[in-house]
Amino acid sequence: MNASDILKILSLIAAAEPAVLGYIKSLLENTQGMSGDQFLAEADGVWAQVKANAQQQLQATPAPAGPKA
Amino acid sequence: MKKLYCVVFVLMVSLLLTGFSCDKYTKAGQLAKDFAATVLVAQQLEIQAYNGGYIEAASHTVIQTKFSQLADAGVGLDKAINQARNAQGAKAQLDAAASLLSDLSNNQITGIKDEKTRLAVQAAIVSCQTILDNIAAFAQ
Repeated sequence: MNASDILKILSLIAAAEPAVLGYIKSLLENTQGMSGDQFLAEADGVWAQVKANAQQQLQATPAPAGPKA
Repeated sequence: MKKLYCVVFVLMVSLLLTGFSCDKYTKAGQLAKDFAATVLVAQQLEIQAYNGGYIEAASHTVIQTKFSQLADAGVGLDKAINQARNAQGAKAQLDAAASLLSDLSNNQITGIKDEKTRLAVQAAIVSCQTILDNIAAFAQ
């Protein structure tokens, strides 16, 4: 990989969604010195977010129309 | 396509950082966190694609239902790893999560008609599967 490729990747990251950037940032900042318990506690927090997002989407999405009689 | 590259990059960072942990419990915990975070990224990708009009409501509902089930399976996986203090006691939970991901990848996202969107979501799901495979490798 040359400097141009690296710059291309960096520009892609800069244009990335906040969620992706946040995830990369948390990986870089938090992975060292953490215990298994701490990792699992964070994982549970993320799962709660996934669950909440799904429920919000399911409530907000219009139900598909049923078959016409 | 930008999102696709980002997901692949996230996967590479995840796999590289895996090596920093020291014991099996810590590694399993780290991978479990990476798994959850990657599923969250895949879910947000799908939500944004739906909001952008690339996914129909019926497919979106089915996919989000699977993500909800995946969240339940993920919590079960974390609990099993915590109780066993490694990934060896979490085989049933690993299988459950793998089955949900496989169903998403092979069946549910095929309802996404926009090809680029389908490929991007598929890439995110493959990232999740790869991390889950790494957790399973610690259970051997």
